[in-house]
Amino acid sequence: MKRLLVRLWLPALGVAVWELVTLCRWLDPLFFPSPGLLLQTFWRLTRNGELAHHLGATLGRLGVAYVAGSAAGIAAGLILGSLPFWRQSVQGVLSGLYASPKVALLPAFLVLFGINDVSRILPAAISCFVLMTMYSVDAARAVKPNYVDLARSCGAGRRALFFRVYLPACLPSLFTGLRVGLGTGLVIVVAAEMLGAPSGLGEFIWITGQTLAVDKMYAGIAVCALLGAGTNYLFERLERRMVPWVR
Amino acid sequence: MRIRCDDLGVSYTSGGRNIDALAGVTLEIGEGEFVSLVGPSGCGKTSLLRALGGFVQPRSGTVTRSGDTGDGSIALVMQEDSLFPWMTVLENATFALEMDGVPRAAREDAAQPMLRRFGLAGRERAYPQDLSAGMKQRAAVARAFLSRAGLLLMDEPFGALDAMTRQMLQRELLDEWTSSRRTVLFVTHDVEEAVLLGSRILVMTPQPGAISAVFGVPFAYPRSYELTLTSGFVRLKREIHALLGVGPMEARTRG
Repeated sequence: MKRLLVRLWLPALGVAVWELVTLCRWLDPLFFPSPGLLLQTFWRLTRNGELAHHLGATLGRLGVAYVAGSAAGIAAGLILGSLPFWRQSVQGVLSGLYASPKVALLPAFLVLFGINDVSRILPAAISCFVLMTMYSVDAARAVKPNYVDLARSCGAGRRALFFRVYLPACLPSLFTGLRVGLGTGLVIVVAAEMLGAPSGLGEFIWITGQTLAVDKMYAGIAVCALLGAGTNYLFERLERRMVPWVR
Repeated sequence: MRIRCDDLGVSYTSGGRNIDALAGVTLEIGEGEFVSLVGPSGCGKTSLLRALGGFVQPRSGTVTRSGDTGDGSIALVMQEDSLFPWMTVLENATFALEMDGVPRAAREDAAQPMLRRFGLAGRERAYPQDLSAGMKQRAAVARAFLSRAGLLLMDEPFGALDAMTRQMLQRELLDEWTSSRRTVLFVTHDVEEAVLLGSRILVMTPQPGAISAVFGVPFAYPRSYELTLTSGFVRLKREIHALLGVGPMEARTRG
């Protein structure tokens, strides 16, 4: 309860100040609708299923991109961690991809694959893949050789070495990567949706913004924020369960 | 388990330079023998232990391990990082048995008395990070004892412990060795510990690491801590100290 209060007081204060500022008409309500109005809009759009429709579309694309990209990235990273030749060979490409802003690739994907879900999912999947490959390579290389010797001395074979030593040793870093990757993936999917998608939070925010339905636009942004906060919270819970030895 | 090595050389690269950690080491450790290895830090003790365990590839020479006690595996206890942080005390202590294919229930039955003996009862589900240094090391030693390994390689296992835990573990180690008669190679920089535990002492000198002397320890087992106060013990200790170059400093402080 106390923790909840600590987490919520600052956002609550922000909303209160916002309400005050709009009440006093210090800001144009056309561009800065009051939190009260936003809440009404949010509630209306939730009731009529509009937000759920767009959230569903975004979640679907993000889910596919995130799960496929991250899983492939983890597998590639852990394998590369044990193959110095291939690691060094792909290092340059990976670092380049990692450092470049993936949203800059969106137009290229639209040209290559057309205006469809492939070009909305693939950029996010590639981002998650590159990110998780980087995190997993580093994690695999950071496994202390002591632990490997120890496990081998106990008679661990390749399978046991992977599942009882490498994987758990990497798990804390993998979780950090997965958490970062989810945020990155959301950014890219939403950005991609702004470029002519038929549905999705990005499309909704873009269209409502363009038509000056500012209250609706903010409702869409709020869903993105809640989605980010919610998944982050779930990740914390999952991490505590899966990595109980790290606190 | 018996170990032999002939003309063993181990080197590693550090900062682009090739450093010889060991050169021309020839030794033999018999079945069920308790051998202490002493030497100053950086003399290659750990390199020798790792080469004998097969964890590093020697640059030259050969290592052979043979014998029929144990399952052919090796129990390794190091000074630190001897426990997997992601396993509980119980999982750590029984890991060697798990790798041997012993079913969970049987593993836990075997571990319980050992953990109780080592003062770890009630902490079975704790993770290493929640244990004191002494408890961690006791859990690591418990795993070594629980394993069916024919060879115990111990690399300064009690080096970072308080005196009381160290004495307790030394006593437990001697008890365990007396009852199981597994081969033990015990690396330490503490001459007293080496003499108290070992039936034979190998003295190493650095750069490159080589065995410079071998001492037979004439005291019968079972040994107790009282032994360290006898004149024969002190004489042997002094002899080894002199060889390690601790002698001149004693002379200086006296004069």
